[in-house]
Amino acid sequence: MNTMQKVAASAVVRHLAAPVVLVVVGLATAGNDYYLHLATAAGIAYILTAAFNLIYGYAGIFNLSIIMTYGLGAFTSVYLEVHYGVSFWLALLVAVVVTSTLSVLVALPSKSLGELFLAIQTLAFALALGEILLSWEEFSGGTIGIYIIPSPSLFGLELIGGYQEFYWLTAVFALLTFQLMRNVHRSGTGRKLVALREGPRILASVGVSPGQARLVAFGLSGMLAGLAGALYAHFQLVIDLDTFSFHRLVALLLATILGGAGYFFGPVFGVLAILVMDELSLVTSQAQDLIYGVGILVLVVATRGGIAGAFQRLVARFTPARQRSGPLTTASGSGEQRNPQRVAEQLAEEGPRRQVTVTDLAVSFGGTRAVDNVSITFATGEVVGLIGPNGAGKTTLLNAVTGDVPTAAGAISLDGDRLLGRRQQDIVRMGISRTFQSPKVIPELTLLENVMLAGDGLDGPGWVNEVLRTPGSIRHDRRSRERAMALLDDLSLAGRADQLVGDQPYGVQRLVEIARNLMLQPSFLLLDEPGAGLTEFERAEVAEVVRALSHRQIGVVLVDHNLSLINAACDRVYVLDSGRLIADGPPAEVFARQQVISAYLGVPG
Amino acid sequence: MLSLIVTSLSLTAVLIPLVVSVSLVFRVSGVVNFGAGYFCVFAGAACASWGAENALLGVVLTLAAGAVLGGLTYAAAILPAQRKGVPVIGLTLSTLGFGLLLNFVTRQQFGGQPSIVQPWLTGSVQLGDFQTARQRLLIIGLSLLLLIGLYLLFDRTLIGRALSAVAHDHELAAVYGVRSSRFRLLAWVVSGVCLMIGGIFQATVASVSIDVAPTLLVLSLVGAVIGGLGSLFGAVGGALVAGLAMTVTDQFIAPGFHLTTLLVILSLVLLVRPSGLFTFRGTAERV
Repeated sequence: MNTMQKVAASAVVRHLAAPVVLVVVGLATAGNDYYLHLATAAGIAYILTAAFNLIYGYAGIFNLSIIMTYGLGAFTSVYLEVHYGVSFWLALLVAVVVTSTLSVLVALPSKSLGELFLAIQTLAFALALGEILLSWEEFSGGTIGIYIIPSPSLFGLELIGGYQEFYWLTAVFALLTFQLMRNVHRSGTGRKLVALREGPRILASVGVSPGQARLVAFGLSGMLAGLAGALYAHFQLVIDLDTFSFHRLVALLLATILGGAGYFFGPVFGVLAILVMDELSLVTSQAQDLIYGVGILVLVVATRGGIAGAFQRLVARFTPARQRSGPLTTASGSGEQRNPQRVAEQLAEEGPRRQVTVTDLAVSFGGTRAVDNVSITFATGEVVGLIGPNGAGKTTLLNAVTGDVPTAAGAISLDGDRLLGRRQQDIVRMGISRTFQSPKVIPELTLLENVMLAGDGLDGPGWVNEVLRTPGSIRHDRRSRERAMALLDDLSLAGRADQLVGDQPYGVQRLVEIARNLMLQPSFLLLDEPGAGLTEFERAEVAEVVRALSHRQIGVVLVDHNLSLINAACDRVYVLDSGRLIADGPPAEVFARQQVISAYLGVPG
Repeated sequence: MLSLIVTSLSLTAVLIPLVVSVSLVFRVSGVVNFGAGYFCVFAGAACASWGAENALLGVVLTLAAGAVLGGLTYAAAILPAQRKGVPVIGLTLSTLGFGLLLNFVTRQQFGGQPSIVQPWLTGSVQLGDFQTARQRLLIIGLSLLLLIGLYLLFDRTLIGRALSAVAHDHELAAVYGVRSSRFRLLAWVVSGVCLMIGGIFQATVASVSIDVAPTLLVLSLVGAVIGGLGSLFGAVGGALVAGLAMTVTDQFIAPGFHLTTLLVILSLVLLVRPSGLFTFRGTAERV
């Protein structure tokens, strides 16, 4: 079988596997009420677990309020049907809108909390909402619950919970959820959510608002949880608040981590595993707490990535094929030729000359003036070095330009537009991108995905298109994949494009970060100590890349300690000492000055 | 007015050991114990059962069990996971797992019924026009005693200093010859005992059942966070605020909305002063 056939076959398998499994399960369980019940329950549990996997596994937000979001979906749909006589379908739609709205509302006050505090607040929210619903008896049935739940009907066919018809309904929604999660997983949405988990700063540095990404995660997972809740109510036909208790939450957490948080197939494995555990505890006379407890303790300690993670490692072990063929060292003594000139050619055509002007800038930390009345300019097409001893304020100055630290006084502008006070992602969108002292890359994504992340942000197709996987977003994805691949190729990293960044040596991570920034097609690239931790050879290469960039009308600001790198790459340098500008001019001239030498070497001037 | 004060103080008295426990483990291990509610339920059930003949014996046995359980949580749920480099949320889940095991034991050993510990002081006292059970006043006093004891232990002894050092920077503490795992174990043991005290208090003034485990957990977490997780006495201040807020809700707004009120306060605190209401330079540095 040639490659094309293989690809086509695997695509068919990928698209048909899930429906076929669901149909087979449906046919196999027909006639057996108990198995039918289990199968339907599993379908609903999959939707709920996928919702939590999305927000916790992908986006890293430990949102415990999801359990009441689920409950609210159930109660809202039933309430609308019983009190307003609307059909199941409309009630479902409204319930889903309500739950995603609620979920977004939870997101707002928890914005800047650490994960532990977020867990506490969302747990408190879930229990408090339970308290409120308990007293709203018309809605929740109080402590008794709600007994008369009408069944959905479709073209005159009654879909009664527990019967075969309802299984098919659940199967369709489970399939839609599965498809949605696959879209998330494969598209920029998945990459952006993972970036959010790894650190909001990475997202901002590719021009995506972390706040917005958070809201998308909350909204989507609230939607899925509401869907699961509404289905659950019509499946059980009886619901009360106890159904959505802490205990159910524990089962959900267990399913998510057991299956593998952040893995596409995690929820599938998790639900199956919980199903088995529940059956076990039925056999062992209600020892559910024991089984869950042991399960959690063992899992947390013994596994990384749950069942899906273990599975993936197993698969990786038996497919040594093309991923592993990449070069093993970064230094291209092995005859690999990097091509910095071509890197530059990847970038957009020469644009108009742009200039960043920093005037009388001051940044204070407490009583310390880290940057003190500094004025510098840099323009496209030149390479400007920023040097000075440790603690001179170089990185702080960079941070001020990119919006990472608040400033005390002064002004920063780009072609006359104010930059001060803008958010990081907006500054990136204006054409100023940067790297960090220690490379900020996403270890759990591949090299290619890390670079593609930059294509998702700046002129990406947007969340809705990505999640629905519209033709436009597929085209964009393909283009961005090609560009990212070309960039990696020019940096001689194409061979390892599909490997995880976390497994790469430091030098490669740096190059990946630079590639990600080039993907943004910036006017200015600020490099914070790109030479740190690199070999002599790699540093020379960075210098070459930097020079090539300046020929393409990109302005580069280079912060580094390595004077030979600065000498080789820079047109002009600024020297900072203790927050003040002490010299500027061409490198050779500046390095000859006594003041600069004594600042560096401590010789009294 | 008097009723407001006494009622909120008695709620606070139950909360104090709980928030102390939360704060203590947070300081030394950086996690919160999601099994705390199950500890309290165990305490109520165990004390009611073991103390049926002799109340004092029941209390002593329960506290001893709490010490063992606290130590076990550290040894079984925290230590192995920490060695594996499990992140904070994983550790928190791990404590939940231990809590579930404990809940299983509670169910097996004592049945699942709500448990009541007979009050140690019967009858009630008349304070002006307000009547309250003697037991409530007793637990307020006992909580105060507990606080004094903890203050002496953590602020006036070398143990407290070493614990502070471990909490602050365990590597540096190790350089100075402090065996940090020993002190962490101590903190977890004390935390286990505190949870027992809270559970027993609750069982003497009301009842404790498996259903309220999540509520107790949230009360302890929210109380501690409001006051400031990082400091013992900040957390106690949080318990005071929480106790007062719950009583005010009951008396002036509507009964049954404790958690809602606390959620509102928690959200405000996290918005305005995320390190907690009662964290000042002095308090933040003590365990």
